[in-house]
Amino acid sequence: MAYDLLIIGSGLSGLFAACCSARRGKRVLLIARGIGSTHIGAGTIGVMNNPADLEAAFASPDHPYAKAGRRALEAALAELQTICTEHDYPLHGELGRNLTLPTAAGSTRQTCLAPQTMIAGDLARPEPFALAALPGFRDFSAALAAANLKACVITLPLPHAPRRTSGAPHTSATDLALLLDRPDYREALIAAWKPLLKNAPPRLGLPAILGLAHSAQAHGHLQSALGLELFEIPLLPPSVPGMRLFDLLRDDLAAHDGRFILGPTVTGQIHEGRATVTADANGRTKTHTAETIVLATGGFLHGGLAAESNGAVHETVFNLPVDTAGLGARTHWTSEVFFGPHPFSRFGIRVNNYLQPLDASGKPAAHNLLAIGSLLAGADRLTEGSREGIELATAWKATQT
Amino acid sequence: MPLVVVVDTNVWVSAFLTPRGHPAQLKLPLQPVTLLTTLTSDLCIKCNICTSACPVAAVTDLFPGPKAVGPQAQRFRHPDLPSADHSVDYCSGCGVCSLVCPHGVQIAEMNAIARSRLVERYGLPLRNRLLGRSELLGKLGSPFAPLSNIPLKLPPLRKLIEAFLGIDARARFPAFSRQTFRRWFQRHKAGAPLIGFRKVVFFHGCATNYYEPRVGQAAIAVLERNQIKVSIAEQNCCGLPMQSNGDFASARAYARSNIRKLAPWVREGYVIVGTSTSCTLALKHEYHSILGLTGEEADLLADNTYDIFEFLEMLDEAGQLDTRFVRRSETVVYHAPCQQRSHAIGRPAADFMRRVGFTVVESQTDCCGVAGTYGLKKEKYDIAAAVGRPLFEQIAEVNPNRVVCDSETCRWWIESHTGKKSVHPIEVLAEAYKGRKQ
Repeated sequence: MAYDLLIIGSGLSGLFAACCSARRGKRVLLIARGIGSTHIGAGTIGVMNNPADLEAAFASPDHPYAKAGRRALEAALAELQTICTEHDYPLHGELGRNLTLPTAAGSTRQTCLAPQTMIAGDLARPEPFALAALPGFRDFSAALAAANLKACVITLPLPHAPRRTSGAPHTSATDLALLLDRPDYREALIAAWKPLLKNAPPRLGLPAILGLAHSAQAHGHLQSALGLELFEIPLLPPSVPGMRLFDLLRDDLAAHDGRFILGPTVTGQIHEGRATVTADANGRTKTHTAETIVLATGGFLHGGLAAESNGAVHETVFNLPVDTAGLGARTHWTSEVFFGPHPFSRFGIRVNNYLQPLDASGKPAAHNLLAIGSLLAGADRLTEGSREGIELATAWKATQT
Repeated sequence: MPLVVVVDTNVWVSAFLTPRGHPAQLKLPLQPVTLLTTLTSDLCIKCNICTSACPVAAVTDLFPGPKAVGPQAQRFRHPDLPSADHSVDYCSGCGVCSLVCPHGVQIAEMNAIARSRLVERYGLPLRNRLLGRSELLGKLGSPFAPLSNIPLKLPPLRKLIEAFLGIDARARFPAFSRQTFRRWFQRHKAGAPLIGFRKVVFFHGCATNYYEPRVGQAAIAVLERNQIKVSIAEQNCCGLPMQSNGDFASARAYARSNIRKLAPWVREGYVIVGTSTSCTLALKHEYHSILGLTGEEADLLADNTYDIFEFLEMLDEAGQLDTRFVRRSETVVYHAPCQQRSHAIGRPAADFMRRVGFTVVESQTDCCGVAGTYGLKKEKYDIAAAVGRPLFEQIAEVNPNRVVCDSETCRWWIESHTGKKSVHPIEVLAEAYKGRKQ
């Protein structure tokens, strides 16, 4: 089939670009080797830890924000909010004014947009809160988080789940989220928790387990029945809020007749200035062409970039040149401080203002090839808190061609 | 991009793992390919995406999830030691984990191999031995149909079978067809003289041959409509039912036999096309990655086996498909079975049905639950039914006249849980060709 847009990568940028295009009536194919970055993120949209730094990023020519432009960022955030609202999963917040939310370790983080299930955790609000300790659930230490956040801990037992057979404790956030999608389990939980929350502060923080497909109902149901404000705190991967984003974007893509192939490994070719890709699955290769091919394969962690032990870095699909800021040996890639900033965080693909990747001579590598998201050079996303903002803004811009 | 893997198996060796895992430079005792499959555990970063996607772990804690019994337990599996984790038997083999893994870990394949090690050590229960022999059951049952269909419908007998064998009394078995597909084909005459140059061996599998000849008949009609010369060559059960029950020795014997029988046809210019997505996946991928069969003939078969819709899409893209469909409007739920998804070819069947004029509601449920013979087992029936529940609910909500699904065991499972008739998409396409002269 002839596609308008072929996207490689199923992280936030790839999925969002696919949805935006499909919603505009384009024929879209998304190919990914596996599920992308959504499942290992917090499920919130960080734009810049310090909103005041945003102007500088737009003004700095090599920053991905400058390539995308402010209008793309604003439009992307608005469109994501629209999509999420349509899927009954509203995201709250606005550009330029961050929410300060708690982490599972009890530190704080800045985010621009957060789902309804999290916003009551805004630490700028004066009302006191408690954190819920759920015995049997090992991925959240309420005591640790509460000590750091100066909150109190309330121990809330998890009712026995009807589908449990072995009597083992609840093992994962996914498990609990699936249970909380069920009204009967929520009723059992309310019955067990309500007496224990009689003298609780007005807000209660829970690990992010409040439902998967029906989190809005789960959150609303528990809030009204328990009579206090509930907020979720994102956990270790796989992230339930991230899964919700993945699922709703995947469903939205399908609803707008977009195609999604999970599994193949993709390699790219550029011939006479035109890019095509070959998908390899089960030893079978198939070549795809499209008006526009969008590379959304992510950085080192997600397989878009690969580093060799000798310090060579390559881009994994088209073997595009990678901007490593002239740093050769791997010893120069990192700084002494674990949480960075590390020079390697800025490695990536250089693009022009149309998001076309550049070849070694600085010209577009192919006229129909774009690169978006965490693959792009020029930003330290971890230090800036800009990962999702860059992913969305560049993805949105790529759908405007 | 080849990936360098360093292995410690008594000696240090380096191997190059190409996308399909061909060992380019490797000298190891026995089944080097399956060794490479298990070695992909080193690519695991413990992100747990597979566990979050596993349909079985989502409904029962008897299965701790693909990461735990796959790449994690793999580190503790040694050729000479007992299996690290018996819960791998609760893996249904749907393969969703391997599909969603962003790092290339062949989790489902690894788990299938681990299960075979359990069987090697502890033996194969009679029930699993029986369930694996779909071809033998067909050979025994089909000639005596419809008489042979009666016993499995008798509740007291089913209770006995459940008690003594462990096959759940609620599990519905398909009815044997008295006339096998092969016999039908021998009497069948191609409608028009064939002018095309494409040649296909139709791999019918046990289900089409012994239970649902109509699926094969539809496939032949569609292929012949497109001027394709069809043969049904000597062939046997793909071996998957034995493989998924951990009986690798039998599965390999069946697989080798198919390779021996079918490779010469490929050399003659035929491609192998099948309607059962699980059979074709076995020929295409699993003989190699799970059963560890290599060699020129095995590769020839793997490289030239196609799901029928993958094949039709290829014809279409080459401008060689007759697309004069009789348009019809019907709303169907299409469930792409897990084995279809593992082909990673998209969902061409859904695309074709839309072109015919159908409204296709696609299921987002990764697996219907039955996963071949998994859901028929007494201890697993409820798990399998819970896995399929979101699909059954979606079907009830859409309330179509028919459910469309590429896999036979899924169709039977869906029918028994929803009361809806379930057909193969090739039947829909064959209908769309009817009523118009060529």
